[in-house]
Amino acid sequence: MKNKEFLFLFIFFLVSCSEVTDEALKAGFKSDADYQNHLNDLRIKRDSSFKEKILYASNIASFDTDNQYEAAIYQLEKSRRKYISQDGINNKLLYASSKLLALNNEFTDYKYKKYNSLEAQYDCIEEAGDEPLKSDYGTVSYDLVKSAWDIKIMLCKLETDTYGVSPEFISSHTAARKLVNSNTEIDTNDDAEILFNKFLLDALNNED
Amino acid sequence: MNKRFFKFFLIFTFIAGCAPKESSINGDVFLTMGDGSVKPVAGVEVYLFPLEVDLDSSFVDPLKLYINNAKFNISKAEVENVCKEANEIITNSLDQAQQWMVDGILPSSLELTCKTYSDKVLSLEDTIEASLKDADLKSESKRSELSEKQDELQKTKEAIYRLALNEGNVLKNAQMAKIEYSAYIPNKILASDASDYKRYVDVKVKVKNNSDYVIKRVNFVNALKLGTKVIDKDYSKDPYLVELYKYIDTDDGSNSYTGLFASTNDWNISERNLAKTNSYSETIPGLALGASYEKSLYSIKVILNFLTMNNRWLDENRINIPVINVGCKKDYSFDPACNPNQYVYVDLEFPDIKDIIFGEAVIKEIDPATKEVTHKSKTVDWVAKGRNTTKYKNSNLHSQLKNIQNQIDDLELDIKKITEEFDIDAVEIKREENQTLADACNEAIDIRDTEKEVQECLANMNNPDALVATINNSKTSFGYEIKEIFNSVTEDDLGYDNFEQILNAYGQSRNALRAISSIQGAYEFLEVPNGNYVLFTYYEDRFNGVGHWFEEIAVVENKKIDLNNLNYKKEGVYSYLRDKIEE
Repeated sequence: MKNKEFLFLFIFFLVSCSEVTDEALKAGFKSDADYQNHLNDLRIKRDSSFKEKILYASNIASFDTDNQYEAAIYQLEKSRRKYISQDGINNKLLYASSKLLALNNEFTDYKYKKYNSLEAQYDCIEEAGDEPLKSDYGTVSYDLVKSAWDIKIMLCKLETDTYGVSPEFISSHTAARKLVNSNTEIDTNDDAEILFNKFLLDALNNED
Repeated sequence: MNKRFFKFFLIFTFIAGCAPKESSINGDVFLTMGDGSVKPVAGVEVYLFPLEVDLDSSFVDPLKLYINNAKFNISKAEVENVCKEANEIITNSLDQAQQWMVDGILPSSLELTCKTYSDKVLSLEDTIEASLKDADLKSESKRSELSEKQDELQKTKEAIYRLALNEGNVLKNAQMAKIEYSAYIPNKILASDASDYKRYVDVKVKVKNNSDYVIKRVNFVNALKLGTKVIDKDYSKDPYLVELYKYIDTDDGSNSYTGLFASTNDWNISERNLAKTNSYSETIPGLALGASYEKSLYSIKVILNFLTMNNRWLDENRINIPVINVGCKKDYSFDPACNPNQYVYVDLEFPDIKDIIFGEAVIKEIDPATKEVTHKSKTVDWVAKGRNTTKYKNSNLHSQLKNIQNQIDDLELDIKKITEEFDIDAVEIKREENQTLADACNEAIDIRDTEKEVQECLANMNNPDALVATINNSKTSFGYEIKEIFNSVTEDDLGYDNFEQILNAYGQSRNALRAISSIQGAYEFLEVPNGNYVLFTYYEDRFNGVGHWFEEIAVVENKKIDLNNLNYKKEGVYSYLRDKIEE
């Protein structure tokens, strides 16, 4: 009986007043287990918050304007920096976000071409002049002038309607979504790249 | 007895050792707006940080560490790349340092070797300095003579330039004398009821180019004379001229916008005035030879009833002011009649020509690309013309200059010979050789230490403390590069919008107690172990901007602490924490 009591006392001391690592103490925890649980909770919250940002920015169909997409990419870039600064190490999230951010150059080119194209279209239509009025011409000559004007306008639209993003741009967004949603365990950046490329290939094939 | 003792011991241990006293903390978070309304701050995270020791060691230092770790994580990828690159390059660098290797490695005693060379360099520098001093001493008289000759050379050069300038001026003055210049005031008849704005006469100047050059511009003295009095832009310093000015300055005419002497420029006939346009609408600059140009240069006031005006100053001075009558007429029968001497103007002397800018004959230039034709007249360089005169060419100043130059060359040669006696060049070569060796040796140290640091860098990539220690102790160029990377990362690069967000993230990372304020802004912490704490929350809206509450509190009993305008710190206002972090 005496031995039992001492054993209980020994276990009590071991559990309630055991040594705690310096790192846990510095963070204000009284046990390593609590600290590890806390870190795990933080990691889960951090990963899911960052994942949300990736999913939002990669859902390009949901953006009505270029500015909305740009704002989402800007927020993603900030979130990525915050994620890394908080020691975030999920390779799937890091790789997917880096791919989306790398596509920003293509988007900038697209915006530049779009702007120039719209300017050229505007100039072309300006040059074509106002739509001819029936009152200004006889019936036969009006039809001729009107047809010529219609052709000019059509050519303006055709000639300048040449901007757009590449199929890889769209498919990369799909692949990034698939990568962050995948349940496959990924340990390295290279593995994340392999899986991303697989999803990208699938997305490109589906588009064909 | 033993059982009882055991139970008593167990209860005592629980109470005394592991059951601290607890209290509750609550309060309201709200802000009073500018219009007096109270706005509860709902749904914000309120943190209660335990301070085991004091604010600095339990809050500020860990926060510093948290921020530094965040910066470390951001720069880690870049640092890793630099370390890997350096690791690849270092093998080649080691090959370059072969001469310093002992048994295939760069020894730790390399510093001693390098010091030997550096000391030798210093010693040779001392020798050179001493030899130079001796050489200077020996050649002192020669150098003093050289200095005198150099001054003489400079003065002779100046005299030669002045001669060219004077001769040029003689030529210019001769050309200026050929210019025909006249000035006059055309007759004018004013209506008997002419308003102030019509009461003026224009002074016209006429220039005829009888010179051998094109005239590009004529500048006149911006001053008029009345007897011995000169009226110019400084007239306001003389009370007499101030009064007189009232009778000559006009409200209209050529100088109506600037006043008679207010213009910063001289009166002039400008290049634009003199330019002509040919039949192809091309501009031909300057006044051609034999051509004339006339211009209204300025205007003088016509004074109404000058002779009869009742004015003390005029009564006392009228006799000394010569005037000229201006005609008067009645335009209509109902106009007032003209009085005798109704209109006069003060008879002032016309201004002299101050300077004339002459141009060479006009030449035609055609742009090869656009075929555009332009006509140009190069301004006459009178100094160059002066150099072409016989007086200039025959001047003995030129031979004097040559003699001085020869003497200077001889003196420099003598000084060089004296310096060579001290063999300074040979010592300088030795110094350079030792300097090269010292540089190469120090580079070998850099390579040796870099190799070590690169290995430490790669090994400690996930150990911030060890890596930072390596970098801080580094004296190599590699370490400097890594330091630069770390230093370039600022809080703005961490992905947070403001400092308060960093504090929030820090709170989440630690075992801080957390409460969320209710819809009415109330918060509550229950069963808080007694001790010292920091109460923190962050808030942002359109009206109040970004700000936070940051209160150090001691918990010894239940307490109500409201967070309101009194303790709300707007962004940037509360600098204590920022200062501590940036220390």
